[in-house]
Amino acid sequence: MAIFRLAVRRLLSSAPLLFLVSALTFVLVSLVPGDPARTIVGQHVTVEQYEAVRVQLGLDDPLPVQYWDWLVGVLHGDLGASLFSGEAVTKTLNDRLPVSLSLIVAGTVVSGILGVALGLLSARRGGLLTRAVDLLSLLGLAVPAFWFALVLIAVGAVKLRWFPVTGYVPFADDPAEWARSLVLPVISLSLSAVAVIAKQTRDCVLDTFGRDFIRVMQANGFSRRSILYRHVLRNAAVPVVTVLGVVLVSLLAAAVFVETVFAMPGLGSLTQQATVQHDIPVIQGAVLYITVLVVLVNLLVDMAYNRLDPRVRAA
Amino acid sequence: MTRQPLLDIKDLTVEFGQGHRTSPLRAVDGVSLDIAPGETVGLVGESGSGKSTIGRAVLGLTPVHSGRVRFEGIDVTRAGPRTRRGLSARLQVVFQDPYSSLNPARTIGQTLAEPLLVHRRLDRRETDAHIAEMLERVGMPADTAGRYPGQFSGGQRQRIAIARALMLEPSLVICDEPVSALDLSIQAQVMNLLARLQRELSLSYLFIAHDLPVVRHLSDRVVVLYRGRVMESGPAQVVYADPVHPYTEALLDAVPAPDPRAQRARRAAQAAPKTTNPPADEGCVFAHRCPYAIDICHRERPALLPLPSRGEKQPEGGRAVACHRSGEPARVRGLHT
Amino acid sequence: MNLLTATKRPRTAEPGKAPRRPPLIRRVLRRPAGAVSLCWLALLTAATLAALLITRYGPLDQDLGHVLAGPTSDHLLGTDNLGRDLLSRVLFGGRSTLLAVGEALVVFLLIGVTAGLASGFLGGWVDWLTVRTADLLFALPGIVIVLVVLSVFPGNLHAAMITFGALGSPGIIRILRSQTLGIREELYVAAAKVAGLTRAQILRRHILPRLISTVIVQAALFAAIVVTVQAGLGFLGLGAQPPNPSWGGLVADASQAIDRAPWMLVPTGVPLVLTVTALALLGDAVRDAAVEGWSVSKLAAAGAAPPAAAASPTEQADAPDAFALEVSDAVAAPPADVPDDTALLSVRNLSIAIGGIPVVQGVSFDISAGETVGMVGESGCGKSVTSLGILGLVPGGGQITGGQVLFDGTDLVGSADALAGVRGTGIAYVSQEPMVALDPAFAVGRQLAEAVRRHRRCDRRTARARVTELLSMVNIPDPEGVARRYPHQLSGGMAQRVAIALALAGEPKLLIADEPTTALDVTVQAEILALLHTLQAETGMAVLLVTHDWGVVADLCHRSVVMYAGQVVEQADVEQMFTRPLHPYTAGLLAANPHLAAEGEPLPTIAGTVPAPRDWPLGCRFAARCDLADESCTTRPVPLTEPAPDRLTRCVHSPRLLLEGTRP
Repeated sequence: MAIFRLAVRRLLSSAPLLFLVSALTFVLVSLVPGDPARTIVGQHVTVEQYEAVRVQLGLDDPLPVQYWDWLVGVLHGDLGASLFSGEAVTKTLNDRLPVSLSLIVAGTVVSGILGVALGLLSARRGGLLTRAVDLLSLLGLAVPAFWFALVLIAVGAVKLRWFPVTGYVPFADDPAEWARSLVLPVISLSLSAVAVIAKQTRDCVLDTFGRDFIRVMQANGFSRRSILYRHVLRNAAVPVVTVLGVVLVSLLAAAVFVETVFAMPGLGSLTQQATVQHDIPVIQGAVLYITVLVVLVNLLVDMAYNRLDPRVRAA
Repeated sequence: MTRQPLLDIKDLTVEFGQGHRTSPLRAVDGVSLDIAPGETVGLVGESGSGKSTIGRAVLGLTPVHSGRVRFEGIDVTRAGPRTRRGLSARLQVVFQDPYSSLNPARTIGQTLAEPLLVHRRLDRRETDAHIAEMLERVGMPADTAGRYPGQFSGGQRQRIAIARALMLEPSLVICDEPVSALDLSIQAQVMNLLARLQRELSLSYLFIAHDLPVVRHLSDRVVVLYRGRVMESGPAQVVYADPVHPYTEALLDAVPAPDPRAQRARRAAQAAPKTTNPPADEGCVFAHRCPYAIDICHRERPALLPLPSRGEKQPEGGRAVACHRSGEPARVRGLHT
Repeated sequence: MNLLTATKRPRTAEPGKAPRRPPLIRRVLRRPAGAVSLCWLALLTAATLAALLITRYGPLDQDLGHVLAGPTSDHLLGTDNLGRDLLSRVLFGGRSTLLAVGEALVVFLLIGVTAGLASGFLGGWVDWLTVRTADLLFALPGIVIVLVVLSVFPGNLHAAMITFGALGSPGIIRILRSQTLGIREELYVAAAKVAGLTRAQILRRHILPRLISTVIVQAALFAAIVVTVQAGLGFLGLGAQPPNPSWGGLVADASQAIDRAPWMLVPTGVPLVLTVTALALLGDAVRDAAVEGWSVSKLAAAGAAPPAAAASPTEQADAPDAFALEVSDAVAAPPADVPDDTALLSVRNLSIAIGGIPVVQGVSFDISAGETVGMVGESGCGKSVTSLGILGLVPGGGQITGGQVLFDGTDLVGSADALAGVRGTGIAYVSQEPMVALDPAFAVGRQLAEAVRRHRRCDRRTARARVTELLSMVNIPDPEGVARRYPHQLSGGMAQRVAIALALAGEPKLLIADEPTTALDVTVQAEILALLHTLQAETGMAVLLVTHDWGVVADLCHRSVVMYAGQVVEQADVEQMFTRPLHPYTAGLLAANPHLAAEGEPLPTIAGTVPAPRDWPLGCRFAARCDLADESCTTRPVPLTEPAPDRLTRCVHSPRLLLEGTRP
């Protein structure tokens, strides 16, 4: 019950963010030098026809009214229609959401498991593994996802032909192919995430091992297993979860590149296309969707804190 | 008190906000005390007694809620930056933690030159000479000025912090637990240094500490604090030898004597400690822990009153106690040695 | 790293020139990573600016005879699908990268530094507003907002980079704010205020200098991100428009030819990777260099044998082996080389080294069942290390280098099995800081139950009952209620009681208590001491009490072991030691206690400080501070002798002390 109240409170407090993002997008869009009505009707029409399109698009209203109309539309699940395909933006986005979610969820799971495992191992063994994690975290920052993706394609798809070069197979069509089509994108998406998580895990575990209560437990005969897996991991988890949240949000951004490279029909590649084509309603919709995802990620992180840290729970 | 006191605190109250939901925490609650020129007043109490807060309030580092602080006859309770700058030559401080009190990124010379920036524009050579003189006074080698704090031990840093406090000619130095972080042998060195400097430079100290023997050794008078209020005050030797307030008594009893036989006797006589319940809102703040508490103690807050003369003794100069039962002769002393 | 270099400097003042810190840039350049990174960045900048001096091809010059060529002497990095020279395109493309980094950095720093400083230094509503705004911006996926901007201003990279700089600033705002807040709370800032410095002076002298390195580090890391993002935008076709070169665009070109000329990925991607790496390494180097010279841990600075802090693994590798020479058999205590079979705990010639440096040497003492032994000395004398060494838990990666620890007849040194069998059930441990001695993530009751079930097999309910019993034993008024609380909900005294209950869970025969009351208020200390007294009477366990407080020794202990600079210097029955100490250090330490001081007289002091383990002399380690010291003290190690029955002392003058007493 408490956790439910927390969720509601967090969602309410994220309303300003959604408002800010949508308003910002809207104001920015109103600055567009081009004219959507002109884009649609083209140059060779009468003034009346042009005006009709403007009214139909609501472009003759003042900006706050346009924004209000748009907000009302959003609440009714109406985000307008693409200027190019004419398809409803909501439909386009809903079609593409599963692709991005597959990619991001898989990326999070892979980087979370690998990162934590690597970090733990490096904290316990030290030596070479410690250096490896340091090197990895440097590479994670330095190697851009899109270039890494291309290298993977060149090696894994073009040369070795283990995986499809590009494309995405929906899960419903063929689960095996779906998984195969996801391998390279997920690897390229996860490189930096694994690095960040591994380093954070390693540092936090080492830090926790140095704390007084661990020594007290060792001295008073607590078992090694329990100290490591119950007490150290539990205490190291809070900062690791923080990083996990940040990583998830950064995966949303990196997905733009990875989806483009692998020609996956996801939200990211949609945003990229819409940007190139100046398809304003689609951009607005995509930004809204991505922001909602960010809000949800932050909510998850907060709920995890609540589970993990009694001091947060009390506050 | 014939002379005008150097520092005069009246009804000082300091509150700390704890967010808008909860009421503010009253760290210091109506404390009055004064310090005569050349005198050392010890401020004793446990954590949460507000002793350090009083020092910070005098220095202007913590805002005062109500009450008044006068220094050399001037009201400095809410002094602005300009007045404070003027005061800084006369009113100085030595903090507890010798590690945090020196900027690790600046040389000792740079740190010591700081007070001079504000008051005396000396040229480089004069500044260096003055710094060297001050370092010598606190027993540090001459080349100290060119080094960084990281190269000195806790005791040495505390000497440097004392040198900084004395760079101008202060009349009052607030010593906020200046020896608490130091080892026993170093602590004695620094205490002797403080005593010597006081003689040489006719300083006054407000000596804040939780360690009762340390305070007794350096102080002329002591003020005992509990939860932001004064429990008892008076000449150091008298208060220690013959505490009147039950809290002072408990505090003194709690310090184990470094003498096995005496301590064994004391332990045998000691009663089991009273369990602690949350303190009452009104009434004496110590009532919930006091073995002598009676009904009135829980209902009414005792005022800090001069101690009436007791029996054969002369009226005791400058002694005051905040206890409803302070006037009752011999109630306790026989019961509780 | 920095800790190491710092501790290696001479600690005590030497006459002559004092070491000055070289400027930051020199310290950065002295680090290999810093030097290499700066070199690469400088070379890159120079090369892009002077591109035409390096390659004779323009970035747009096509050579359709040589398309998609690999590296040749003519085209050092090969050519692209239109036969354009890749080296030339990389260099010219670098210009737009550098420009983008510059633009984004200016915005990032302008907003970040101003807002971060204002927020931390001014506080109040400025802080409130800044933090809220920064939090909001931080939650945005930056790249997506940049895409929106680019859809509004097509191809306008300047707008994109300015936006990205603004969106990146919350990171540095948060860091600078918390650092400023931290520095503002430092006592030296309070001292500067008391000295009368104005706000501007404090900002300039104390706050800004400490933030500069942070700003550089953050700027370098952000620049690294900008390079990637700018390239990413170019790759998406949103940056420089073809045919103009940009690093991202070059990668996009390479992706078009990935099946025919995979080589193209190398010259187009590697400069990108190297530049980002250089910026990241530069950030690290600046961070390390910034604290070099003055970052010394408290313990290391105190000239102490630092139990944990100074014993970093790096130091271990660096420690000169020569120090080991000091361990000499001559130091061994002759009176009791053979372990005492009748004692509960018998420590013989225990030596411990941390980072290759001996910090405890040849320590021997016994504890009988039910006895309380005090281990006294100043910080850095090896008390805590010895007590943890008994449990096989030497801090800071240290090791036991010799000796025996016999508990109930079993040697614990080097035997993991023996230790596992003894910890908790035979010997239990209570530490100094009660507030950090319990796991903050678990309720008190669960931790205690875990300890109970570890030591005796029982079901949960029995364990819970035992927890209540344990908590009652340590005089906790509401055991069930307290069992449900978390450590942060307890007061210091209460937490120490719980910690003692935890130690009692295994019904130990010996309790090692390391300064159990030092962190507590004096009245709480009295309660804990009384509790230890009662528990000992009830359970009959022995106690090894590590303390620096003579009062605590007098209160609880039967016997006392005085340690100085890693050795036992005196051992005796408490009463005898207090009345007639037989080592000048014991005498000095007793006399320095203000509790016993004569009114109005200076305290008797011991001059100087405890020497650090590196500085231990061959002869008596106390000689430099001792009034009685003469030649016989310094020529050879002083053995522990027994000048009177049951009295051990490590002083060549002990016969004289026995006759005359130590006090002047």
